[in-house]
Amino acid sequence: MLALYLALGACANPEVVSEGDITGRVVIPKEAATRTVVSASDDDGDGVYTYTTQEITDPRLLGPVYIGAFAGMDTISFPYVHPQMGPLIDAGIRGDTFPYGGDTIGRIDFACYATLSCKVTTSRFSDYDDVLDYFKNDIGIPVVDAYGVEVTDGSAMRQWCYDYFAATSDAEMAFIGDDNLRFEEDGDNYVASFKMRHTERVDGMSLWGFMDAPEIETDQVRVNGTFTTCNPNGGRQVDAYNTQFSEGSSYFDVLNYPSTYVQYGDWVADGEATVSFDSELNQKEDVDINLNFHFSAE
Amino acid sequence: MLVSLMALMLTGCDRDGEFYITQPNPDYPFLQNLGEFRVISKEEQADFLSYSDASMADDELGRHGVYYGGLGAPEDPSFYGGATFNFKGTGGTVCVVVDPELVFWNQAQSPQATTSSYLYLDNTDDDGDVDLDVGLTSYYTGSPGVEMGGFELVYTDPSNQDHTISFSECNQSGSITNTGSHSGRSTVEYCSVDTSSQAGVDFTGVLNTFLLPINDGVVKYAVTVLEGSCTKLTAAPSGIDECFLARETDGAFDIPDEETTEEYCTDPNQPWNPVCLENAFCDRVKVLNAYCEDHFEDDNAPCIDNGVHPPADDAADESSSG
Repeated sequence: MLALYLALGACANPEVVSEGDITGRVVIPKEAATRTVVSASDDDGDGVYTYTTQEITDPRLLGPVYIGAFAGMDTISFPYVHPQMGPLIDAGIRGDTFPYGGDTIGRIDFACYATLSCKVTTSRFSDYDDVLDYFKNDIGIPVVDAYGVEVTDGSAMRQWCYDYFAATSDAEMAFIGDDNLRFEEDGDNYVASFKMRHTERVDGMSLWGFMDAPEIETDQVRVNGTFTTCNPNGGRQVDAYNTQFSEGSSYFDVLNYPSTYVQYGDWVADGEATVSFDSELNQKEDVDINLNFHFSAE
Repeated sequence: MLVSLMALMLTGCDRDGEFYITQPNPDYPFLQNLGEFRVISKEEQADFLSYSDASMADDELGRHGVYYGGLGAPEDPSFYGGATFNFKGTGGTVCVVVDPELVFWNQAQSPQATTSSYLYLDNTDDDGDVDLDVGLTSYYTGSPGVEMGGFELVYTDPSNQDHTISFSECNQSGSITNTGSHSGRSTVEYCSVDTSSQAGVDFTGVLNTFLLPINDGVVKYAVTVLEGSCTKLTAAPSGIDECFLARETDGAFDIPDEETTEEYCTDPNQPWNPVCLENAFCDRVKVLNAYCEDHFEDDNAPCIDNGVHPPADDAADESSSG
């Protein structure tokens, strides 16, 4: 009898913790994936490329999207809406935004070849051929192997990736897979759902984020495809007998100091997304984060 | 059967860990305020020797140069102990350095360890650890000489959520470049502090007692403040190492100079002393191994023969003959 009473008592006292998952969607205009891209071709196979440009819309041109939950929005300090910041402590360094939680829609990943360091986002590519096509026809820098030879066949890339990562299946490659594609077309937008896990739930908090657009220059392709949120010296350091490089990885404080990383060409949220909770901290409704501001020099 | 079990249980109670709890020492309080430090100028660093009279001398205002001290244990082991000191910003970068006694090394694990300087186990009973922090005095949350504190303050964001912010000016990076790191036992700690916009402003240095040596319950240390960045010190052109602030160990000052010469230190018939050990440690290449081998049988020997590695000379012989 006593045990039954205690058991019932336990049910009446659910554990309430302030952290929980926040759900919603990221909405970004197709315009963000519409760029003048560079296509490289070497028809005669002499190793000398010719370049052509054209404007296309391609969701693979959406770089990593960083989203977070913040106390509020600052509409004064920057040309774009930015999370409110804490006190300035060190000269030349903005205040910390103290995010309550965060997530990404696609993250920077290493795709087997040193030349792809800091240039590949997960959740954008179906397969190896998709990666090779993107770099040749959107970025203008065909993928080359450690010997500088162009990789033209997805199966060759697969074999190299298996060797590099000591992998046995494509499922181990986070940067490819139809099931991993996050953005879907929705009218004039691309839309992706998110679950911001283990986030401090504060009623009325703001959700904000930005898309780090890949660098694309039509007159100087050398820098094309890179992301400002990627640390070229980060990630695993590879020091094989005939090659030395870093795999690259995201900086760890992108959401704490986003203004350090938001650059011209990126798409930034309008900051109008807020989250409400009931008394038991259940999220009342899903939230759309609209990345509808193009931060440009004009 | 029951009697045997009870006997075993009683034996199990034989170990209570009290050995690791050191006792208070009236000569070395667990909380200390060291007072004001002067900043040792670049000119003075030209012929810097940490234990020279000139380096240790107070100036006309009573401000310490290189300070040698010791921190003891509290009555209640749950209390945080440590020391605080002040110095004034110069308008440039200063370097704050602390070196707790004695020296510590990890024994080499490599199968090719005969090429290592660290073949043998360190005797850790004589090692202590103090952790360094520095910040503006106005941000210090402790009461010097009464209660230890730090430089962490709470910022409340617009949604009434509290966030702890460190206002420490002493950023020490670890092997993975995280700030807020500290060296381990017996290892020198230092950090550069930018006082460029705070000339004449008070800074507080904090030495938090992290580990007291088991052998005497007092961690001896040397601490000082020098003009310049720690990576470009006039006093340490090749960098700060274990011997930059030398002789911080208990009794090291009383060792006569003739017992610190190379001839004396390499004589296996002489007993070990902490000055010779520290010099051997800083010389790096195998000197430490040789010093250890010469003194395994000494009282409170500084190294422990692990029985795994052959003496370095034998290994070298085997290597050359092989």
